[in-house]
Amino acid sequence: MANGYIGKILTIDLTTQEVGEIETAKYESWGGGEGMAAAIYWDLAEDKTLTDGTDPRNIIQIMTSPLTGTFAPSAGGRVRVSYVGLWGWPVGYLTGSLIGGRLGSMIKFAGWDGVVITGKSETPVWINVIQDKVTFENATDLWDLDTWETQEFIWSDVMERELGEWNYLGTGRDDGRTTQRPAIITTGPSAEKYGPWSALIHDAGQAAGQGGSGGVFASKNLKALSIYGTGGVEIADPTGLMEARQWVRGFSASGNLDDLKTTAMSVPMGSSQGVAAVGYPEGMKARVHGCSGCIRNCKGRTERKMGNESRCLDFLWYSSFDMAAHKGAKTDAVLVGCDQVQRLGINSYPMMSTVLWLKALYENGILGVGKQIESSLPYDLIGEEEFAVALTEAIAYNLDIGADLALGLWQCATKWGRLEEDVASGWLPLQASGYVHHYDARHETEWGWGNLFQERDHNMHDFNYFVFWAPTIWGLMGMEPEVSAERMAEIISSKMVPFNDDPNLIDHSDEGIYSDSMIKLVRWHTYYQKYYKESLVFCDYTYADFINPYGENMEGVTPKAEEWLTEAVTAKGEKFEDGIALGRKIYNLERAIWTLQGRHRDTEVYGEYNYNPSAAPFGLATYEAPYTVPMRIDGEWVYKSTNSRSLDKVKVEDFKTRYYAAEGWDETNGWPTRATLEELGLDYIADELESYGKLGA
Amino acid sequence: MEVLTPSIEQAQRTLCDVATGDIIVGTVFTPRSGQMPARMKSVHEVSQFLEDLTGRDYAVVSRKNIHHIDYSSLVTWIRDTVGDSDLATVVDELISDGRAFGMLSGEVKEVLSDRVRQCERVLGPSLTEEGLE
Amino acid sequence: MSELIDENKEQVTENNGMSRRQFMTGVGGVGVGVVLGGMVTTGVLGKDDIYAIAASDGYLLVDSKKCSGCMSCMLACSLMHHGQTNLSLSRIQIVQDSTEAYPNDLHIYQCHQCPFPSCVEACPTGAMHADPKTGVRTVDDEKCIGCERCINACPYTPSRVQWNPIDKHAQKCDLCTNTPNWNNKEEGMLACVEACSTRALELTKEIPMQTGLGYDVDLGHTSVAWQTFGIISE
Repeated sequence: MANGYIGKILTIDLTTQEVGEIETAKYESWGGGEGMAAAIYWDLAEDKTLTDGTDPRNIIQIMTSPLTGTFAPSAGGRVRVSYVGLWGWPVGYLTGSLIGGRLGSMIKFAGWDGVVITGKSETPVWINVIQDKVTFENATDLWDLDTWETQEFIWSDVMERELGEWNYLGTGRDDGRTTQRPAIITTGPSAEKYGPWSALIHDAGQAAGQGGSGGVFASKNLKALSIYGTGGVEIADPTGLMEARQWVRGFSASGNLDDLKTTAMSVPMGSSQGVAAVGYPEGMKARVHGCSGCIRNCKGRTERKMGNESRCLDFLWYSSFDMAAHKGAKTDAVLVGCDQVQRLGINSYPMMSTVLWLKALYENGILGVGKQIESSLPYDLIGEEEFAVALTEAIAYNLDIGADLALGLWQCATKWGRLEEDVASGWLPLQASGYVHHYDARHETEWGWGNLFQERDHNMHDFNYFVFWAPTIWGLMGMEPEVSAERMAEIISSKMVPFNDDPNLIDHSDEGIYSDSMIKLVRWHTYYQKYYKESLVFCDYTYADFINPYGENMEGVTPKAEEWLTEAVTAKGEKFEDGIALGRKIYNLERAIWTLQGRHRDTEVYGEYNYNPSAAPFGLATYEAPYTVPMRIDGEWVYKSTNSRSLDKVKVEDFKTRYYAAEGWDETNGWPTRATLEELGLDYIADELESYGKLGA
Repeated sequence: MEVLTPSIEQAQRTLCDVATGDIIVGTVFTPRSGQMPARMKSVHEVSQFLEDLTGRDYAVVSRKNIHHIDYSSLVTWIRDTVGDSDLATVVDELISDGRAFGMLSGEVKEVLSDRVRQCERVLGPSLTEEGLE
Repeated sequence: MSELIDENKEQVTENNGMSRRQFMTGVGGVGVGVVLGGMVTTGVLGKDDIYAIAASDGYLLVDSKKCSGCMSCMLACSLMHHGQTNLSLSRIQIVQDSTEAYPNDLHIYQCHQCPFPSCVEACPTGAMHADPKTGVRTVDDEKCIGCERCINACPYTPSRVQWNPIDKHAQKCDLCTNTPNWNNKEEGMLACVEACSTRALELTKEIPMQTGLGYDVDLGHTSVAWQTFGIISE
């Protein structure tokens, strides 16, 4: 049946080197990606209470969606890597990370919907998948290679001919030919040394960063996975998919080059391609680059090979220091920073906070030569290439304080006896679950709530672009808002089925952030993420597209695009509200696993700095980094600055209670209840929670 | 907007770097990506940090960063930390009409830059490279 | 290789944007049935009885500096022709080296609809032919015996003719003249062009220059609109 699925999932047991397959049909009801991986984890995990991600019983999965490998715009490229992680606080929960490029499509073209890896190899290996053939190759000589060196080796090992020629994937003439290279996902050098930081890298700069996926690979004596295939993805309605793509392109900037609309709204689809260019030094030539099937193309490849396929925090972790050291100019130091994290396979997200933390400790005489925390890293050269190299290598090779940093940030701070103090001040802004502050929960509170109730920084910008960036830019630059606060609230609320009867969902006033409307927003956001963003893998840089200058009355493509594209590929007859409902189901499945792993309302706490208005996460107090957000005040919608707002602990705890109740969970501990699980068809999960004494009452 | 010609001592104070603990923090906004702190230790650095850009420059692409500094804090810092009350007064007057940050950025930049040049002229031959550091 | 009389060759190879119509007019404007390889195909008989194959009605131009490597063109090409997204069945190939420097990190390999098609000449059965209506070089798959001479005859690497291992015949870019999975295709639409995320592909009726970068042109990577994105391509 042509529905975007291949029909089988590859299983690999590293302990026995047994290779098998799971029928995808058994898990199709979970969509793909995260939902499918969580369901498979539930069925296969020997011990669902496992919290040590380095345990051989951990399962690491790379799971596509039915849209992967198609040209569903910005929905055909990414995959979800799922595993019990190494970074989280107080334990490593079942977590995951999304990765783009061409990995996901190549998994489908090799004839698989996903790869499930269990066990641990006796010796270092890399897995070679060519169509349906799987071999285990000796990785002893690759173990200390960086991610680019590893991929170069494997490419030359696997390919019979040069890149750009027709490569034969077998001996028979019908065995398949391709001009492409294998798609490889690999760790950096000896990733077991920095497991919680270790990312899996694909091509030059695609990464599954958060949570220590590379550390999981390394703990299994697994260096890399190479996938090579020449098959295809059958789609239910090819004409429909083309029509849908053409329609979506009409909302994109590059689809409107003859009539570019000026907007500072930073809307996902309507604004620029090649956003990575903002990180390049002045005058650097490059191309835009995008993942398979993308319509946005947020990355780039440069004329000097540096910074290829890096974006966002790959640049930003070091660019402020580079600019500070060079009178505002961006130099090669920022590109060296990019390439270091890509080559060494280091999660770039926590790096900026780490530098700020170390800088604060150094400048306050706590860290340095002969200081309480002994370190001889070149702190005087922060902003220069030397420091970027020194710090990343310290982490990767456990040099100097790198041996402590490599444990993970909260683990390192604990070892140094500084966790409580530095989190309270914001020097080390661990917002929730041990993950570094991303957007400020004191101001853009929907972001913080999303993190509080999940196992990692969710990194989902669906509201962020509209609720924070757009009004803040308008306000900073004195521009007339392109959408009034009232109209923004109206558009966004209207798209948030089944909560679309509440017009106050995006109210970020001092009352609004604790309101029942906010609870609905957070719930909707989590469901949308779980299904559309992480299971069907619609890319965060394009979706949700609520507001778009190319849309009629400024309305964006969400939810029509998600529904149309899914239907064109799968013909499931699934409406948007069905997808949201499925997101709730996936969330409850994961919640159950986290509960077995020890999650409790007492572990769902914000870092102390969130209660302190003058705390400076990222080195920025509120007045230094103004937040302007939509608020409903005295019945009127306005864009207003949050000033020096902080969170109130009593109100936070009350919000948690009401949130748990709204989700149908036990208010005292946050555990799912039998009634909720049975409502979702998850009776078997209720039974298992009950057997562990962890079923909500 | 002109600032009174400074004395030699004033010019030296205005051109000097402040102590590490007295730096002023601005923000580099990268739209749709994040915010980063920009830590500045002199009037000269602040003048270089601020940009003369308008809202149109952020249209369509938002590819440019926004270099933000809180003006009220800047005035206080110039007066109390750098020790240049005259300059602080001029900046304060400039920002007092309540225009948005971006609409004032180029003008504040110009005032600070002019002050730096003014101080350099006052110090003349006695000014060395180290004096600017 | 069929030869043209000198004046025709001159007319075709000059960079004067000659169209197929002009070419045919230049040699008398009369299409003549010619026996070639045992099959009748449309060609043009020159003044001194030298046979020539009618030029294609269309050519695909690319802007490799604007291309993002998203491969949507490849996915769309294969889907509209074969009902599945499949890079190996795509009649346009984008090949990338992610750690290489721009602009050498990416190459677009599209069929040139050669005025002197080696693939047509090589075919022993006439399966590979110039379509009588459009001049597009394409495969009649019922006549293809799978000898792969056309694949080997293509002067470009990778060969612009692919082997279809599912249906077991050669195939190549037909400028979307046969896309059974594209129900509402309009005249002149190409799947690759419609799917392209950066508008880096364009159909033209003018024969591109056959040497140098005749097929790889500026389709807007130097335009003001593109430059506003902050990507400096040149």
